[in-house]
Amino acid sequence: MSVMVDDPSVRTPLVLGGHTFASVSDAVCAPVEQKAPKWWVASFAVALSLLALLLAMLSKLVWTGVGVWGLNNPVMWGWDLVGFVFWVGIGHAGTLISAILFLFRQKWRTSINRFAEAMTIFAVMCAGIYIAFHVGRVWVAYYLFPIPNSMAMWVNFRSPLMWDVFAVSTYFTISLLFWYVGLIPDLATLRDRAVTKTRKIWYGIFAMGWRGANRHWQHYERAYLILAALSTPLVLSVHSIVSFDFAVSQLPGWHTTIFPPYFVAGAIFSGFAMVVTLMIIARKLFKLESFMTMHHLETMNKIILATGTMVGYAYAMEFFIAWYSGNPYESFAFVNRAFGPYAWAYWTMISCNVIFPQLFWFKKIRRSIPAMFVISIIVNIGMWFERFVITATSLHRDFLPSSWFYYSPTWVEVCQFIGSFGLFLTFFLLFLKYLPMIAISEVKAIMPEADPHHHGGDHV
Amino acid sequence: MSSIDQPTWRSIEEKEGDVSVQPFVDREFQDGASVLDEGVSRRTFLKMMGASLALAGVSGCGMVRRPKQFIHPYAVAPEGVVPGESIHYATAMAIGHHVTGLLIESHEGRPTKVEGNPLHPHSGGAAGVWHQASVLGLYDPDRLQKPTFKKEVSTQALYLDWLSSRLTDAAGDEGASMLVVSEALASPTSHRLLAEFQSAFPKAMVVMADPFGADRQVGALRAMTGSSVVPMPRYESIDCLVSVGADFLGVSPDALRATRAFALRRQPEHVRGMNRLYVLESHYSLTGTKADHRFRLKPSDLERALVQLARELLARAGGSGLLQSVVGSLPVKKVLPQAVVSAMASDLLSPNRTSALVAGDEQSPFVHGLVYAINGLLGANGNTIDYYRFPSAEFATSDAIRLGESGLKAAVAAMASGVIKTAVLLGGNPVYATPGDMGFAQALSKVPHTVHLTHYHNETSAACGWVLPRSHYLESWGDAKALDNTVSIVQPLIEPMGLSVSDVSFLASLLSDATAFPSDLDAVKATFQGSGSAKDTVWRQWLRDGVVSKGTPTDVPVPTTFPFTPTPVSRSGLEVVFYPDYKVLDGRFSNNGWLQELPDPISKLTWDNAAYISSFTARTLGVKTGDMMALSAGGRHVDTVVMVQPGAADGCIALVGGYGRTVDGRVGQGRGFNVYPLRQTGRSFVSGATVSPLGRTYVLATTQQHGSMEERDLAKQVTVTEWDENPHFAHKKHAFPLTSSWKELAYDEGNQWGLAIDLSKCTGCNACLIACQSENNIPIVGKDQVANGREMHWIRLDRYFVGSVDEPEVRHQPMTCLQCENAPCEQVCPVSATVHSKEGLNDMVYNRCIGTKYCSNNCPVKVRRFNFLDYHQRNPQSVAKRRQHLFDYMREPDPSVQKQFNPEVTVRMRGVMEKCTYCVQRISKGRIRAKNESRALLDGEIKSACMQTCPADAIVFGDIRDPKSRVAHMKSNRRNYAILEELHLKARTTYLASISNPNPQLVKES
Amino acid sequence: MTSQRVIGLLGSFPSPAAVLKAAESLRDAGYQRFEVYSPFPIHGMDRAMGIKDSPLGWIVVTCGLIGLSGALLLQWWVSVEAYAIVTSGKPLFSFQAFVPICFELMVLLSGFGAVFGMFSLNKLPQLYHPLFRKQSFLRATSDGFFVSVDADDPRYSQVETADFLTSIGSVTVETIEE
Repeated sequence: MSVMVDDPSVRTPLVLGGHTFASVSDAVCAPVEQKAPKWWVASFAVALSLLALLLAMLSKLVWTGVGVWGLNNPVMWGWDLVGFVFWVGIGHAGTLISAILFLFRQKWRTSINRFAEAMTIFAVMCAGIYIAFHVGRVWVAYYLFPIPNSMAMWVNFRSPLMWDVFAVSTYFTISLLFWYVGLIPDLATLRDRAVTKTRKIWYGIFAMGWRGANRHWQHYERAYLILAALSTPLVLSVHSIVSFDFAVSQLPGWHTTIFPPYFVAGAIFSGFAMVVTLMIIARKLFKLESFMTMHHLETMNKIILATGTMVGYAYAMEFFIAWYSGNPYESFAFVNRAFGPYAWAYWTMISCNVIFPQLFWFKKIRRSIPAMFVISIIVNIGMWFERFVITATSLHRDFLPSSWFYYSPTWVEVCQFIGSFGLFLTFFLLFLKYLPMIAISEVKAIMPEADPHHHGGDHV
Repeated sequence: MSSIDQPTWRSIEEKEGDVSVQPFVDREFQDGASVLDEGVSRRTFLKMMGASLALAGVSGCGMVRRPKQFIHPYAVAPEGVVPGESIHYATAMAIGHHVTGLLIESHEGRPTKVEGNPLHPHSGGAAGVWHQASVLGLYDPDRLQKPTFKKEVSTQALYLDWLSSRLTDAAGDEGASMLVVSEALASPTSHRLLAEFQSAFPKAMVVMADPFGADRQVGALRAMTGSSVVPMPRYESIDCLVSVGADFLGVSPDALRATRAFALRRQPEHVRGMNRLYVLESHYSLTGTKADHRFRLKPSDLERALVQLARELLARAGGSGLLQSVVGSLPVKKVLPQAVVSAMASDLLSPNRTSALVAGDEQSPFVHGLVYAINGLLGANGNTIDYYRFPSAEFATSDAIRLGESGLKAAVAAMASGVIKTAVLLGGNPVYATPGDMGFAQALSKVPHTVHLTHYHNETSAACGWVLPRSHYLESWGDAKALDNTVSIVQPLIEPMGLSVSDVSFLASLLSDATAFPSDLDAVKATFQGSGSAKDTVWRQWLRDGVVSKGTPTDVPVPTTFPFTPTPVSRSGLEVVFYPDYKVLDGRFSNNGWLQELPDPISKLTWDNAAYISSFTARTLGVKTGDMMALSAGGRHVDTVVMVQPGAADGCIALVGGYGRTVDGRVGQGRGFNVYPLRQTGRSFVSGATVSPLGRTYVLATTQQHGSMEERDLAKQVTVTEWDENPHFAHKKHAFPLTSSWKELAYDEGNQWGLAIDLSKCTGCNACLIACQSENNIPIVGKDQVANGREMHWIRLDRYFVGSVDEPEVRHQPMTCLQCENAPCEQVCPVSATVHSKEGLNDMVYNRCIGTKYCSNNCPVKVRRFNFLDYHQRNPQSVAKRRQHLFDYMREPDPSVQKQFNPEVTVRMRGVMEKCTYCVQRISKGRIRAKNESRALLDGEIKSACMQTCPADAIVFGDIRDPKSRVAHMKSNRRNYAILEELHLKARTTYLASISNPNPQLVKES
Repeated sequence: MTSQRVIGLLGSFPSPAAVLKAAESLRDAGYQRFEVYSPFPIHGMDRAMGIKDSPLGWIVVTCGLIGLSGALLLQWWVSVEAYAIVTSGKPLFSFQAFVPICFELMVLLSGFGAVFGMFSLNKLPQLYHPLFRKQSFLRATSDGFFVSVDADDPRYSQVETADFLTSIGSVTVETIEE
């Protein structure tokens, strides 16, 4: 991972501004302990109203039927599955940053992993909403779980959707545990700093009586390491399995072996973009520039550049193989993507995902806050379109021209997607307000002062 | 209260007959409660208590409340009725002059499905779309229920008083002030009664006409020969056939007979080889889709082309007097290339092959006359074309009885002159469906006393004083005489739903002064006096067979004169042809949801009609599909919507009747555009029409948006010569061997069901689609949903255009569920809601389906249908449902429509995937029957609904493991192929490639 | 307060280095029942205190194997025994399709093993602990470094241990009451 290093001889400091252990705690805990700023209240109100919109759309959906969406006979999946894959994709950065970078001993991750993990969890919640409500009879969605029932019927373990059920729920659970375990020492910090009784009680309960004993630290570090080791293959498996939803079926444009790696790359791509977007806002609003340094952002942008290029390569490969395979249906599917009725979506995807990220080759842009903010948002738009292109464009024209049809969403689908951001933001704002958005103990551990040999203390 | 003391507590109160508990019982246990009322035996009582205990448990633990329902026990069980077992009764349905013998499936007295009567020569076991959909019409809640006078609900008694006063008036002037206008009736009894009425009131005028029908042809032949005869071609024995604008396979109600006979000769395996079909027509018709050579001509050119052909034939065969004299005098205009005409002529005249021409009902008398003469020349008359006496003409002996448009014209004149005081209208809808220049409506308004017997409140009844509900043929006694003079008894399946009157009773009432309507049964029996109807056994025999007697052809009448000239046309402007709609015919079926949603077999348009024009005409007019335009001719104009039709004749607009109803039921009203105002009396087509685009667009809901096959080898067709050269063309070589990476299942025991569809025979007539809809309780979804690609039809007729936009060929391909052995849909269903049966069926488990829709995405032929919005509840005729609990659905199909549902098929709810099941209910029914009779299933014993009704006999279902079965025999045919075989689906539905038989000389030309 | 039984001593240290050194000294002095508290894990502290490696790995492996075999068993039983229905003409036991769920359940149970194993090894949650009553100890989660010696340590003696702690650099020494 030499990309993380500008000049191997000199390491960029990860925490700026001459912090001490105490000042780190102060700085990170400040947003939690001060009363909510105006902008927070305002944006929380917005988030809540969007959440209300989501709930309204879901009620309409359940009450009236899936027909409130624009789906039709060839195109049975539309914005619902697109939204699902979109959110799951976003959810990937968190675990990736926490787990994989942890295993690679990338110390710079410490000041952003908490943040990213939180994002993961809330994104996966949005994805869960989509996968649960895309079915025609949501009230019997529990059939999806292998529960003994009076019909004496069982699930079909050959279905990628069944794999999805297990993958997504496992992913959510593990991410949640991982996140919570990381939080425990910091919750203890908050508990010990608490001035009011309620704070003491609540943070106390969730800190579980953590007191930083070394025997605890020993098991704790081991647990954290193991969770990281588990999450790494998990995070790769989840999006591979999501890609199986498409790859395992035999629809031209879906039935592609390149999907698993390509989906994972795309997920990291969109996830990192989302992290950058949120970090830029958070570090500004909470004055945490000394923790979320330009070095962090630049490194993220490098990863965005790398993954974006991988995705671009995948697009090219798909086309090449479609032609090279000599399968008429396959080649038609891809030509139709680029030049058919949905060409507008395809080219939006290409420009957003392949062309714009290339700007990150320039250090200036890589280190310019406004530039990266815009590009990170563009990337997420592009990734949404990628999922749309894969889902709708492949479906709307398949084997028999007689069943070809065009699909366009209704206002319900659109509002539901907007509303899903409400769910995401509501939880995210609550997180920013009530939990330390930076892993305090981890940051302390990577400060030079934390190294017992710092003062050259001799010991046998 | 604990569940222990509950029963005791209850039963004591019950025994003491404490009424205060009754409500509880009512709520808990409906059926038992209604049993209770008629004193209970000890056993029933105990059984009931047991059940109510169980139910009490259920309702105790939830918000479940059963809807209130009552058992209606048979006080006296009808003979042969086994509850749960359906019974078939024979009857017949007349559409205009065309009669089809039918078998009606009845469940506990509810007619649920219409099937063809194999004993009836016209049906031969098949039923068309209109016949099959008529059962929905029976239960239509929009049908008139009570007599009305001037829009006020009245009684039959009051009507009969009014009638007798009118009759006494009419008696004064021998009926000169009396007019009877009836829709075309095929009933001998009705004919008898009309004749009797005529003799009772000699001066009264009786008119019988339909907007479209055989009248023009019969009239032409009568004018030539003096006798009213109707030609009935024996298509199975015609080797070379020329259709002159005749859609004998399509919109003609005679299509069933024609299709069966014609399809026999479309299979290259036939002993006499394939027939060859030339079609000259103005718009693309179903018959055109089966043509080996199709020539698109505007109507005036059609006449010219016929003259051209006649000349060529005469030149080659040497002329008979009449034809020579006619054609010789006519100016010649070469509309067809000489090469084509000579090729056709030599083909028609080639020795030891039979050949004939058929003229379309809507063609001009000139065409009919010429075709008749040419058939004489070809030796077809009496040989491959039989002539039968026109049944309706048999009673029209006096001049006062007029048939067809000329009759209507006379009637309008009489009404306008004011001599008519009383107008009796039987059925039909002349105010709406008569040519605009006739002015029927205005004339009718001059008549002080009017009565209309009608199924629905329509434009005509809106203009009448008395409006009487007309009985459906399934609720009334009657009889019917087909064009081939086959006579059938029409027997009712069910008591009239409203205070309706049958045609026969209505006509009989014109002759009697009774205070009640005369019995139609007596009237019918009276008609058959002397032919043995008195003998009960004979009568029962007739009822059982559905056939009284078969007809025999008459001698071919000799043409004496030829009083016709070509239709005069104006040089400028466009020509307009009219034809009845494939769905709602002349408009009589417009309130039938099944038919409204039936895709037009060519344009795949639903819920609307359109003006079909060629792409060239569209370019010249500067319009495109969906544009509104004002079309004017003869001083009248109609607004209609353009639909570009590949293969339509240039310079010609094809308009479809039956739409634009202003007064109709909830389903039909306001759909499409009324084109009748543009028709002109006595004209087969209109010329000099001008078009002005209106700048508006209109949404057309079609079930198929993409017409090209995209060079994909889906609906295979080759010429018979190509087939001889390469008999195995249907089986393509695959780049990779079709094998699975796992050991495949053998399916080598029990019955293994399969389906084979012969594309060579299939005409795309849609009969299978309606059969499937009525058998499987398939809902209609409405125009907006069709426009969004959500139609629910389980069987889909794919229509592909092959070749150029101007001169395309059409391929039909009925698409059922392929029932793949390696079904892609099954493995992706997370909840195992679609799985495979041991008999190779791809089963849907509705109550397990949660609606992920993944199966449909993975279905390569997209035959799965998803119930997006609970369409049974969204039906325009659905009614509010008594709400049981919060999450209950708020609407349900109208109770009367519910009676049509097939009790053997689940009514699916929303959010559930559904699809073709090969009529699994019929399979298990047959299996049970065979088991009870402890025997093996016979081949052909189980018929899927589509197979049963297919008039072309193109669909064959059966056990593919039984080598002697028909389906196995078809699948062993070299033409047999599996669609998308390279996906290794191992589909159970396979197709027999279509073979065309073009004229080698003309093939060389192109 | 004085009435309460003393259960140990708590010494505070200025830096990670100091507390590491102290731990080594205590270990060398033969103390076993002592504990070090720090706001973050200190590198090399386990060796300094002379405590043995965490057994958590074994717990996780066991859970993982249970998850793996359980998943395989469930899928086999459901597809072959309980609900043997032909699907897409594939064999009842199509193990290739069972791999993803086996993997997922293995990870899930391993995760449970890691987290709840860690809790049980650390005897968490433990909402009360005598140290929580010490005002100074609040800094243990911020920037305080402490060493506690249990009273029931064989080498423990109220006075000497206190002196010893001071001698190895403890800034303050307090007693911990029950």
